[in-house]
Amino acid sequence: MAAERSGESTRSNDFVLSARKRAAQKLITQFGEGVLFVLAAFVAIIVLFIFFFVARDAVPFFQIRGFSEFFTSSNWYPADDPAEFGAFAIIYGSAMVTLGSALIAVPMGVAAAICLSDILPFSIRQYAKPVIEMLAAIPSVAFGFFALVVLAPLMQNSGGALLMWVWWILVSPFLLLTVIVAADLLTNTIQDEKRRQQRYVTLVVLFGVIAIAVLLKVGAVLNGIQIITGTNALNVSIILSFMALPTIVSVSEDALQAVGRDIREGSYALGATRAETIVKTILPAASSGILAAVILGIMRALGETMVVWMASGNSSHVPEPWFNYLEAVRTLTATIAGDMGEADQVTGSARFHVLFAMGLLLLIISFISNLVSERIVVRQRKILTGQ
Amino acid sequence: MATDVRQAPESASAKKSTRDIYLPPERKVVTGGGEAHIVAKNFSIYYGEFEAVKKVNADILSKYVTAIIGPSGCGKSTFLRAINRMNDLIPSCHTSGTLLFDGADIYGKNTDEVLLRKKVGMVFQKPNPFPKSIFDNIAYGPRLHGVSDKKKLMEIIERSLKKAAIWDEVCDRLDKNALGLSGGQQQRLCVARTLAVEPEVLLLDEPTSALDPKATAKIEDLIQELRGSYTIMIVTHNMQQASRVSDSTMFFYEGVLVEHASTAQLFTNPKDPMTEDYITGRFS
Amino acid sequence: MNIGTRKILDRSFTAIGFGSIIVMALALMVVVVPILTNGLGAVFFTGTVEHRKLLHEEFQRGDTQDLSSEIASSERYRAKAYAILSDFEAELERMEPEQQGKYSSKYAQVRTSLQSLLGPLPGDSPAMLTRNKYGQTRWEKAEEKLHSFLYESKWDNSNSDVMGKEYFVRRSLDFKGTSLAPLFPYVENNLENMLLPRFTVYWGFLTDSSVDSHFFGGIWPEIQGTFFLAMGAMLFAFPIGVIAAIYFTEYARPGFLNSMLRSANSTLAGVPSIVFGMFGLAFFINTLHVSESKSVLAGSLTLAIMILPTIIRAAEEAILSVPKTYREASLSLGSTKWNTILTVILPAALPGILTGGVISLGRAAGETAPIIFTAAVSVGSAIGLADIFSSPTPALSWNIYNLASEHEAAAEIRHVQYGMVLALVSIVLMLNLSAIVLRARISKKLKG
Repeated sequence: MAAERSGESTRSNDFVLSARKRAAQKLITQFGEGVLFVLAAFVAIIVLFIFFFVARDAVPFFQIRGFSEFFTSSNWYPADDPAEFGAFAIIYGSAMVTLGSALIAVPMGVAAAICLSDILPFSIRQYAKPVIEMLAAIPSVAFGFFALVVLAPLMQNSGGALLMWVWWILVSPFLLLTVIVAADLLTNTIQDEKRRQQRYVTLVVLFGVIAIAVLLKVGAVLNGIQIITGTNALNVSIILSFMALPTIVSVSEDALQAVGRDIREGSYALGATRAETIVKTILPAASSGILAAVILGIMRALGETMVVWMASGNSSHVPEPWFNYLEAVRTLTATIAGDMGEADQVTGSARFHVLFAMGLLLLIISFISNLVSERIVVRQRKILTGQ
Repeated sequence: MATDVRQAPESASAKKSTRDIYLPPERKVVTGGGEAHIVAKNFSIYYGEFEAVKKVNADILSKYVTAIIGPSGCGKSTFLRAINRMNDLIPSCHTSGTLLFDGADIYGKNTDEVLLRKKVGMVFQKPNPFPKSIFDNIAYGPRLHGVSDKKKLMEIIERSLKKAAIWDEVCDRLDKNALGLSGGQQQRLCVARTLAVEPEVLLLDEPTSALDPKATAKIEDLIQELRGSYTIMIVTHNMQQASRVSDSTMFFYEGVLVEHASTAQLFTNPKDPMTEDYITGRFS
Repeated sequence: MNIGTRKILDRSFTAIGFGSIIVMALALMVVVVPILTNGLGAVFFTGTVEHRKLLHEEFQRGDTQDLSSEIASSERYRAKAYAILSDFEAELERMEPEQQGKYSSKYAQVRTSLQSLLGPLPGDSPAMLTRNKYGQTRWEKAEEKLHSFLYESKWDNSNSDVMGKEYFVRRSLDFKGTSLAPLFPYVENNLENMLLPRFTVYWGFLTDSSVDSHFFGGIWPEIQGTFFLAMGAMLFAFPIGVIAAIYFTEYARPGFLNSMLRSANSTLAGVPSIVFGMFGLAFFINTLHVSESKSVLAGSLTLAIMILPTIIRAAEEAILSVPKTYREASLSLGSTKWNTILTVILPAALPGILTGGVISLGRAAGETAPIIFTAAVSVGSAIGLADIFSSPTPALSWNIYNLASEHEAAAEIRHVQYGMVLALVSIVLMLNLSAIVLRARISKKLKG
């Protein structure tokens, strides 16, 4: 086009084209934009296709078997005759490992995000960020391999001792803090400084003794636990939390960064410590962004396949008791991955379609949580920019 | 409001008022030119509902320097950017009235804004060379418009750089990245880049606001050099600069063109009390 | 609250933050270090004469003369062990039937044990599987096998409350007084002479194809398959992604349609990877019939869809970070919009776009779930470039799963699995590292 233009005459107002030429030019531009639009709309088309094709193969299952068995029964015998397709235990397994990983990843992730955005100096943050990116980059199958080959035998052979150490290392500092804070709060009302000091010391000693007793007792109980199988819900939850962490950290950090400097300065100026500033002003302001981060992180755990397939034990039953994380479980993703090979794709038996029903369930959950998290982020941005 | 400023240079040298000390001692006599090059008739610019420039009527004379002054947010930049349709980049921006360039409507139905911009070059507030070599920066425009012969390109580049008074400083490092130049050099490079397209009009949008005094002086000298060869419009927030470099001056306030007169007249004997308040610094 | 307590709380708050970052770094270490140390063992290890024999016979590598002299020297030591065996077999023949019964099953155990250590013994029928044609090729494995040759493992189940405990009994005790007894100390003392362990660097692990379902040989077919799949995915996704990003940043007008498209993009980014696999199966294979069944093409298309949102986002960010002034400068010189995009914006955004592309490439290489139903196959040799439209391929990610979870002798070939994991992780981390470096260099360059 450029070459054609330069050939124009030197008439001074030659930038006015003939009506026909201008119309042709507009047409070409619009056609070009149309092509770009179609390519950009490709993503939307794909999303529609995914929903359509997964639903198309999922619907026949519900037509054949109805809804109630799939969602309420725990009998999963797809290969038997007559076959049973009770997926409750599988859905429960998915929920269990997802919740487990969230319990580990959310506090850690949010704490790490706070640390990155408010505590660490810039020079250290530069090195911490690539660590998180690397953690996000490691392929899921490598995590699965680690869970199966390293973590599972470790748990099986010395699980009790491991649990005890984790308990001591993680919980003792918190108990110590609780003791100090409780003693402080209980002595707060005493006016006389000397009496208050005395009372404070006695309370610290008293609570401290109780805390140590609890620590030792629970530690001993944990030490006595024998883990029957290393491929269990706890193992998977730990590994999944590693995988959810990068998402949670980076999205929450963005949310925390979005809270302006002036809010922080306002709080410091009133004499708040850093912890108080963060907990009382920054976290509430960033809370919806952090919620979005948590949702995204949880979705990563729920949708993960390889780790759960390799290391969850793949046993379709609700653990006994229901919160027992040391038993093997089975999840939706692992069931799809594991059973698709044996299901008859050509004739499309119920066994094939039930897997698509599971896929549709995953798809719907991920779609809804994505929408929700997106809304939350938009809303937070609006609130922070004051609209 | 559009006063005849055709005799601006003569009248400026004739009157010896206090403000005239800002004028350079010797001003080049412009031969030719002086016709109405750009004409605004009831021309308004809107951002959505907001009318940023209100019903402007003005004649911009060819080959002379016209300065646009006014407090920030008064619409002076918006008006300047309307002349080569840079405002098209802002989706909500639209216009009413007519803006003529050589008698043809800039916002006409059949106007090709790309060809228009070839004729109406622009230099921006912050020097914005491309992250390419000096050579490629200047050659960008000519290449766009179909010059690919290396020898011819070299000729154009040398001519443009000489016109922009930067040839001596960069002639031995044309292949170096333009971002390595100083701010003032970068801005003159941007002028050279615009000149390489051989425009008729040069729009300068606060070209010295990001530069130090020394670099500013060089740009001002450059404008004096170019005066008489191009129709130049310069937006500036610096009144001394306007009085130093321009032949006529437009004063905008809240989107309205309050006064348009020869520079000497506007600065020595403003008709509008608002203009007087502004140039005497009662508000800014 | 007391100011002291508040300070303590503040400090511990900081400590928790630091702690969680340290835990994350530790988690990375805990996962990467065993993979690294064990994975290197697939290439650097102490190999025995059996390994060199295998390389020579299967891959025609190594010096024939050196090898035959090595074999001759190891055979000299082995001959004595074989002699003890044949002596004992003769003794067994002469025994009373009940005595014979007592020894023969134990002797069979000893014999298999020795077989796995040294390879086929004289008098064995020719082995069918390659894994039975050779003794231990790796010295650390040989030492394990030596232990199970010397000791019989037994389980103590006397206490029914706790799990059984394993304990070991020397086999030589069973054969006290027979002519077999000297075999045990002989093998124990002369194993090195029989196997001739030597430090080996086996680069072939990366370039050889596997022998006897990964018992021996290398992982080239998997590396090649991963390469094909990831590059194929990029080939589809990169152009579309960049063009879509250009549309979103330069052309799209805010409105309902645009926000729908953006929503679609984030929805696609959130779809679980296994669902991509199902979609690939249902759409590309069962509906479009891009290939008869699994193929590299179908897998690449599926992976392409998966990485598309990442590429679009990265490209959008890169384009948006190009200063607006470049755009203005180019347009004011009389350039068309499209020309401005091609000659000014894309070149300036290119490093950022490439960074996103490189990270997506890593993601495509590492993903397993989408290729399970569309492209991956457990055993197979490297495929040619012409076969990508029709045949499935082994791939690192899938074969790691397969070897670790479904292989009949998964515990025997841990070193191969570790080697594969290391290969995959280093490919992905290298790509990410280069992206990080690339990004750092850009930001330096843009600053001038």
